[in-house]
Amino acid sequence: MSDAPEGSAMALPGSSSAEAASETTAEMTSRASKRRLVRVVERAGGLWTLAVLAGLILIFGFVAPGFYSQANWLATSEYAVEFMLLALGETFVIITGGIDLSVGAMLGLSSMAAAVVMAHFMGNGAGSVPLAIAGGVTAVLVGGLVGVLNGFLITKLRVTPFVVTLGTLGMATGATYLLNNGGEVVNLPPQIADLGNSVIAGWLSVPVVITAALCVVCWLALSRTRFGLRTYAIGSNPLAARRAGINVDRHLINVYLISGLLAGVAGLMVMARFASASPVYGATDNLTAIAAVVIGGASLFGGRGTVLGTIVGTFIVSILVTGLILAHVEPFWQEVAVGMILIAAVAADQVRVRLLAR
Amino acid sequence: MGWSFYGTPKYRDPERRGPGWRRLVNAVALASVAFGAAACGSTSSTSSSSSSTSSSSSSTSPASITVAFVPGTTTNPFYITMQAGAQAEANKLGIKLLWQGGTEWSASNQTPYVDALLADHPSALVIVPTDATAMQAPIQQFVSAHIPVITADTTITDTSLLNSRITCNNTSGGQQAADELASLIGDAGQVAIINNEPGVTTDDQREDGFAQEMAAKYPNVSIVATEYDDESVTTADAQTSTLMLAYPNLKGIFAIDTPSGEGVGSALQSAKAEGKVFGVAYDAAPQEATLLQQGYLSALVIQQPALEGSTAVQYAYDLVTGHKSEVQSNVVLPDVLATTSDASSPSISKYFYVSSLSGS
Repeated sequence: MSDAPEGSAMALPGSSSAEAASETTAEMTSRASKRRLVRVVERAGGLWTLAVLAGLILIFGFVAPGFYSQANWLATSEYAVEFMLLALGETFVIITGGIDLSVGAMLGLSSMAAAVVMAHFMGNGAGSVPLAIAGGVTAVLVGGLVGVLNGFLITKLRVTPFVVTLGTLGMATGATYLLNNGGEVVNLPPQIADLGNSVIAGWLSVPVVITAALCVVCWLALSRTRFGLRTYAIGSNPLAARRAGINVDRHLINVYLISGLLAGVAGLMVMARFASASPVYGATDNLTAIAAVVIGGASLFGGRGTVLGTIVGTFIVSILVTGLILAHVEPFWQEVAVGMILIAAVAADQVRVRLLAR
Repeated sequence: MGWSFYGTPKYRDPERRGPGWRRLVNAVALASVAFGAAACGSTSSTSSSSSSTSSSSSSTSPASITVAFVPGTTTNPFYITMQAGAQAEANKLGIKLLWQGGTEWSASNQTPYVDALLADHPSALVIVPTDATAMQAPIQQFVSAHIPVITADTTITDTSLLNSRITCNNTSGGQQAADELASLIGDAGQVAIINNEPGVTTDDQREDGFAQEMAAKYPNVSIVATEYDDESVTTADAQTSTLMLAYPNLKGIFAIDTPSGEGVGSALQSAKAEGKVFGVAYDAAPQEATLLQQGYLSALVIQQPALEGSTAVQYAYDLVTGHKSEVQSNVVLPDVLATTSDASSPSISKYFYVSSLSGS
């Protein structure tokens, strides 16, 4: 949890120390204890949501036999892949104060484009392994292209991210239908199905490993690099970031590019898992991805959010789906429970914010 | 009036002459079509009716007939297959087919298409209503404009508005699924259902048919859970994996539609559960058909969307050309049951849905 929001960490100690000099000793000690509390809470960072996740895991382990099984881990982790990849990209975007509503549509478009390319060349007797690679590259490229388009429209035309990505959501969805007249594509190279369904050592499916690797890359990029620092800076105060010499436009285009690339990878993973591409892939994913990021402690106003928080948020969302079935909860009550736990997770995080603000 | 400057008569003349002239051409054209059809004998299949009957009362040429067809969604293989059937029939009759619809199953999404089509004043409307009550008002407009309306697949509550309704029987389809699944699991054990979302009539009928059949005929089979996947393959997949874990003795799953069928098949495949847990699904989209052939799904209940589409267009043509007697007010088409063992035979695989029109 060491990648807790750096923006807020920088602001707090500096502002209070100057005032503290003129205080009485009694007040000073009370201030000091408060500051200690603040530091503890701060260090805890995303721990609040982590506590919610741990609580869920404990409760489900207690009420749902088989929750701690290999099969449930596989089901839950594979289910999480799609949302994790979309939420990772969404984390960067939300930290800059933007929103990307087109992630689900980019997933659908990139998987359909890759499938159409592969199905087209399959008939011509092309080799299967190069074809599978070509499909993978197509998926990632198409996602990246839509991402760049998002970033370009947002920065150059000065249209708000909400409107731009709502527009590209529609365009990408329409393009998905156009690619194969709204139909499914099946009959893909078997190597693609191998990619989506191989399991290493019984516990780690290949898509999960790929996703975990991308999580590490994103975590490093956001918490250990200048790129990450600038992402927070732009989200905290775009004007100040610009004055500080950051090329905000270029940075934002890169951020939306990342979101698009990750959606492309997600499209590839879903297509590989089901060895087919359907226009309904990703259609209902937007809100889940955004919810996972927000549960992870990100602020929709920008400047706040972490990759670890997003990982925790995504697992909360996924564990609810599998855990509630395992606990034999009626499906209609499942919906109620999911809604309640989402609010509880964000409320727990708000408590932390309030403690920090004191 | 007769001496008005700007040629009212000139404007009117072709109008007056038009219908008469057109009627002559139409009569000739239709007579030749009828003659041609009669000459061809009884080659046309199933419910072909009007083209071989007399053309005496007809006043419309095929080329001027436009049938507006609004599917439930334009992206589901079921409706793409229906479109293929409808288009083939329209081509055969030489009439125009206007295929228009939304990409999402909802009355609010469908209504604008229906409203817009009214402005085109088609000869007949065929519609797959996305809501039994909400779609009545848009359909009423067509009835008021004296445009015949036929429903396909689903229907509306007030059937008096309709000239015909054509559907596959979802209740009996659910029963077929129950019979097949029961025989697969030896008439005893736990089964589960993966549904789409609550409140979709066709899906609920399938579930009811399935549940009633199980309750009536197979007392040793218990339905232990019903999950809703919101039309997400990924969710259906995760739910299936989890259900197998939550109910270790689970022997079968009934998937109510295409996304759930694909999710169930995929989950059974990755759990290597074929032979232990049996999946029976509705519909036969390409991926479902593949899973059936591979044995990850054991059986499919296949509807006949192509026949629904072609029959609807046929009836629309009959209504417009004055052959009301040929039109049955309620047509229920039988479902086809495909199993892994007969999935590759052409007599079954011809019922599989198509994913694009170019393939048909």
